[in-house]
This record gives sequence, C-alpha cells and structure tokens, in this order.
Amino acid sequence: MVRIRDVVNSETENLYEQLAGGLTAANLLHGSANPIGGQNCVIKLRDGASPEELVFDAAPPGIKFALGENVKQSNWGEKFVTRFPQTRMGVRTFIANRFTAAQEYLAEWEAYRKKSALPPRRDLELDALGEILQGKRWIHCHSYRQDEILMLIRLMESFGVKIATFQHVLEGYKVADEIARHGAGASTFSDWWAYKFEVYDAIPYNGSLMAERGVVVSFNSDSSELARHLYTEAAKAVKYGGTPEVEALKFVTLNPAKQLRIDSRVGSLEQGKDADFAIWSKSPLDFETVCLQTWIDGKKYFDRALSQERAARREKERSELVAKAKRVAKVSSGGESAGEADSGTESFFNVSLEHQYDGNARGCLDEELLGVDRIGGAR
Amino acid sequence: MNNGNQAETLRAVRAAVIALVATLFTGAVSGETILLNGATVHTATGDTLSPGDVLLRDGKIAAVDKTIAAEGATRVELKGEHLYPGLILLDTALGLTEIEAVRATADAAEVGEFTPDVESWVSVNPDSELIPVARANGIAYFEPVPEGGIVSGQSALVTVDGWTTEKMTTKTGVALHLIWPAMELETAPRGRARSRTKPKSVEEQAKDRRAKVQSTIEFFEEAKAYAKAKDAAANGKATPPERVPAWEAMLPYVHGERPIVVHANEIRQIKAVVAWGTTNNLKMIIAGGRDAWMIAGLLAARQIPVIYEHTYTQPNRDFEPYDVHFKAAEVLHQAGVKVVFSMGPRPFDAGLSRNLPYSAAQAVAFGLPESEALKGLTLYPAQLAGVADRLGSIDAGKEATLFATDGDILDNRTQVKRLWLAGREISLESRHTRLYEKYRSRPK
Repeated sequence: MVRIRDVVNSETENLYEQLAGGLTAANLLHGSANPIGGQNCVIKLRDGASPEELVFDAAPPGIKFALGENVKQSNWGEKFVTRFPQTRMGVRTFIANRFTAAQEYLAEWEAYRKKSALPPRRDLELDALGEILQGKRWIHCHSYRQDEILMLIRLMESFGVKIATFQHVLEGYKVADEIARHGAGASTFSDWWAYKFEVYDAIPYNGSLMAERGVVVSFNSDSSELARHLYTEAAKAVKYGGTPEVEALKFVTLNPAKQLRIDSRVGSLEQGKDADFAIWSKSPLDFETVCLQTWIDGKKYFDRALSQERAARREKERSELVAKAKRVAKVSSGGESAGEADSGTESFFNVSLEHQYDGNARGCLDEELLGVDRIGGAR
Repeated sequence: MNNGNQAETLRAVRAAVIALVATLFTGAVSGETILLNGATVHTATGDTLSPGDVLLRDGKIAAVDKTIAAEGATRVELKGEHLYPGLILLDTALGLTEIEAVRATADAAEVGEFTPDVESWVSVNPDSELIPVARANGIAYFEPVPEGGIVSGQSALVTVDGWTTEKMTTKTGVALHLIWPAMELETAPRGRARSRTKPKSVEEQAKDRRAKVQSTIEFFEEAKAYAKAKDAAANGKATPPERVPAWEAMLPYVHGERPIVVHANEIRQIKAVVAWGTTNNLKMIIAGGRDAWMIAGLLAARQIPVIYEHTYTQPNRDFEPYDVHFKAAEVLHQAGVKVVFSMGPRPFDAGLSRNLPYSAAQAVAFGLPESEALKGLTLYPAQLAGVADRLGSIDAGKEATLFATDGDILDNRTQVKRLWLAGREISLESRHTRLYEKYRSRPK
C-alpha cells in the first residue's frame, strides 16, 4: 500500500511558489490509476522544514479511491484491456469484494484477540481498508459521472462507511441531493471540462449548484500551477451560479478544512485556531489582487517585498555553481573542452528527480557547457 | 369550423411561431439600426467613454460618442454595464478538437514534418459544443491552428457563430505555422531518461537537433528557390517549374506578404528564430514565447510581436522568481514589444478558451497597464491577423462585434450579458447553461 507520506519532497521550489499564491495547506493525493489507491498526506507548507515536519498531524488519515475512465484504463491504449475492472460495473464489484475481505480480516483479528484463533497474516491493504470500516481513515474518491458517484455512496453505506470527499466530482451537480444526504464533501474543479468523455457534461456551475443543495464544496487544483491561484478559481464560483463572495472564499479556505476534518485548527480566522493566513493587496477575488505575505503557525513564510532579493540570491548562487562546474569540467577532461562529459559532470547537471518526471523539459541555459555549438543563426 | 380551416389556422400559427422563434434565435437582424446606450465603452483604441453611446447600423459601428441622438434607432439600455470589442483568440485548437481523449474527435494535429498546404479552417466543426462556451465569455473570433511536425500548415480567422465553416471563416491563410525544433537536450543519466524510447547521448541529441534545424532552414531555402523560379517564369526568363502544392502554399510567406507564426518557448529557440527570420526577411510572430522577455529589446528592435501563452506557467528554472511569467508581458511591453494573449494550441485548453481574459488579468495584477491588456485581447490580435481595419476595437466603420458585461472583463466574477456579432445579437446559451438549467430545476 502506497503512502504519500513516505515520498513528500520538502526541497521542492513548489512550496515557495504555492506560498506566493496564499496557499498554507494541501491534501496530497497520488494519481487515479486504481479503484483503491494509496494513503494521502495533509501538509502545511512549512517551507524549509523536513518532510516529517511538513505533515499536518491534526489531519486524520485518508486514502485515495478512484472511479471511471482512469481505473478502467479507457485512455491507456489498446494493450490495456485485460486488467479487472474494465467497466464501471466491475469497479463496484472490485471495491465491494475488497471491503468484504477487509471485514473478514477484521473478524480474524478479533478472533485472535479473543484467543480463539491463530494470528492472521498482516496485510497492509486490508489494514487500511479495515481502518476505513472502523471510521479511522477517510475516503477521498476521484470521480466524474453521476452514476459512479451514486454507486460509491450506496456501496459505502452498505458497509456503514461515510465518504469524506468526492474529488473532481464533475457531475456532482446531478446528484447533489444524494451527496448532501450522505454527508460527503465535494472537491471540484472550477471550470475544467471536455478533456475526456466522462467530463463532457462538466459545467462551471457545479460548485454553486452543489453548495446550493447543502454540499460542503471546495475547489481543488490537481495541478501545482493552479494551486498557486486558487483565489482566482474561487472567484469563478461567483461568476457561475452567483455564489455569494464569502461562500466562494470558503471554497478554498474553510470548506476544504471541513472536508479534511481540520477545521477546528485551520480554515478561518478565529480565536484559538492556528495562525495560518495570507495578506492580500485587494480582495483575493479581485483580479488585481497580489498576495503580499503568507503565514503558517504564526511564522512568516512568504513576503513579496523580499521575493526579489531572494531571486537575486538564488541567481547569484547558481552562477557561482556554474562557474565552479566549468572549472571542474575543465580539470576532469584534462584541460580539453567540456564536451566529453564524464560521469562527474553528467551527474552535476542532472535535474532533480522531481523535475525529471513532471513532464517539463528542462535544460541548462548555457549550451556551450555541453560542448554543443550555437545553432540556427544566419548562415 | 371545418377541418380545412382548422388546418389552415394551425399552419398560420405554426408559421408565426417559427418566425418568432427565428427572431429570438438570431436577435436583431443586421439591417437594423441599434443604439447601445449609456454603457462604459472600452474602445481599445481611444479613450474609454464613461458613459458612452455606440450606434450600430447594417452590421457596422456607425458612430461612437458620449451621446448620440439617433432617432428611429432601437435603443438598448446598458446603463451600468461595460462594452468591449469582441475578444480574438489566436493560436488555439478550438473548433478542431472536441474531447481530447477521444481520438475520433481530434483534428488539430497532422502527421508529416513539412505540410504547409494543410489548412485548418476546413476542419472547424461549426457545431462543436466548445464554441458556444467560448463565446459566452466574449470571444468573437478565433484562429484554429494546425499542429504537428515542423511546418504544420496554415490558419484562418473564424467567427464563433455560423451555419457552415465557409460562412464562419472570415479570413483564410492568416499565418503559416512553424513549430521550431526543440533546442533542449536531455542531460539526465541515460538510465533515468524521461523518454521511453532508447535514450540518446547528449552528443547524439545535439546531432539530431542540428539536423532538424538544418532541414527547417533548407525547407525555406527550397521554397524561396521555387518562388524565384516562378518569378523568372512570370518575366519570361525561364520555363515555369513543375507545380508543387506545398511550394505553392509557401509563396505568400517566403515573399513576406503574410506572417509566419513561429512556435518557440525556450530562449535558444527564440534567439535562433530571430536570427534566421531577420536574415531571410520573413514577417515573423513568436507564439508561446515563454522566455521571450529575456530578449525583449531585440524583439522590439526587430518588430517581432509575441503571442504570449505562459502567464499561468510555473517558473521553468529553479532560480527564476516565482512571478517571472506574471511579469513577462509587462517586461515585453516596456521594451516596446506588442503582446497578444492566448491560451495556446493544446487541445486541453480549447475547452478553457473562455479563460483568455484571465491570462491578461494576471499580467495586469503584476504591472501591465490595463489598456495594454485589453489591446492584447482585441486590437493587437486583429492586427496580427491582418483584420484591424474591420475588427479589434469599438470605432466607427468597424464591424459591430462587441459585448456587454456587468463589470471588468478581466475580473473572474464578471458576467457577460449580451454579445453582438456584426450587429446581430447572439445567444449566450451553451451546453453548460443548458445542463445548469436542467439540473437546477431537478426536484429536491
């Protein structure tokens, strides 16, 4: 069983970029390739702290579930047609079977505790599902279509389980009453649609419609870019469906805190809560607003007034490192050009692992470092 | 009343209903004279009139002034509202893609490295559900762009309402699209290369890169040679060359009559493009332009405009300031570069075309004057598309394509209330409003 907590990268520049958009906490979920996914991790963006210190320990444990096209491998290519489940029917069956297994697993442990049986073999997946059955771990489920949302609600109700949130939940507006009655939260995109067939009916009024029917709604990002400006996303709830501004602001503050069961600590400015807040030049819903400062636990983590100086410092550090690397490369290649990159220089220019898999091409600016001539000029 | 009469009455009623529905659907007809009264008029060229009047006649803007006495005109009261020229979205997959993951609906990217005779406008789906969604936020024209390969084809300027692709296409051959080869090299150790294909050494990659750039340059050299041969034949100095469709398509572009939009983001690409384009006297526009701010002065000196698509792109390098792309438009503007905003040609962003004004808005929050932002959504794209004589601003003589809002179009909260295309009011209904109305009225 995957645990996001084990792979939190505290070194990423992302933390600072998010802070610069007023973000103080985040629910980290992995992708949506499997109906029953791995364990989530809620962090506070304490930039500079160790991975363990980023974890927001007031958040109860959670787990990522997923439904629909991704788990049935609809867009994976022609080779991916044999893994169960391949349909939304199968997704229900799969999840139901694993929960039945978890019930049996819990019963085996219970029997062992009563000393009437041998200890069962420890199973990390069933441990986690058992915690869900016991109300100790909360489901955050990636979902799009109304039928699959309703399916999971009914299936979980049959096991006595309450779902914490539906993620994305782009057809949530079609079954808002059912979501509200179950008591799940809805963490949706403000306006994404049409990238897959299952989001062809996604509408930007989704958040407003669900909120009107009593669902606790938040806007999520699914993207480290979008997470930098959740405030502009919240403003779209005002545009589409006329959510009152204060309620729209809750979509990115108090409501996600409620969904994560951390609202006694964060999500609003109230006496006794953690001092996590951002200072803006104008209303965060105004297009001209700029985040000026971001504070967590009463400590300032971002200050726009100091950001230029910080950038200059980093640029200086970089140029010094590049100069050093050039010297090293020259020495290690026997004074020849740096073109014959040995293993030392190759690993020096290595991009971080995080960047290697994020889909962005990155390279150093100085092409001559690699012994490659300038290209494309006038002939 | 006998049956015959009844049937006749029914027919008459039906005809009247159809006529009424048709009027409702198309709104005001083009021939009508309409006075848009009392709105804040953001002309995009001159001063903003607050309030002002705009007179529409025969599908054109007849007059713009603080007050216009227009007897006999249909008055549309817009007190408290704002009027903007229709937004123009350049460099998009809108119209060419419906659902990104459904291959059958993808018509934005063709195979082949050099296909200048591919024409985007023939494949715009007039009934795409994405188009009404885009126009509901003020987008009046868009430029569907062919993707794929190096010279991917030609684009057109297309309007957001019409019965056929022909009726919707306002101008064909707006630009030739050149996707400049990537200049970045994969420097990670081979064992951890991103590419799933066999990783290549840095030296091999550099060799490939050189070959690609070389083939691009040579393609244009050959196109020029073909043009020269045609000219010689026209002057009776040589026999005409064998007619080749690809070279025919290249003629107006190598002659510098029409612009070449070069898609380039990284600084080395942009530098290479500027050097190459200048040497060859090509009319150039940079699209993408992520790093363009780094050589803003050079771009200004060479009068190369930028279709900037990265306001909302995270910094690409660890040492760049967090707001590098928020500020880039202002850096370019300060240097004297004309900046047009776009979402870019990725199919995913076609559905998000309606967010076009917000890319400009973020640039305003980080320093760009609001008047420049508005021009970058209206007048400047009209200029790049070569239609500024009739589109892109609220000025007398231009097409009556404009929209009314309840606030600043750059603000996420603002609602677009009404839209006119060439004097004709267009419905703001879309798949989204229909689903909204349907499920809003679901009994509890």
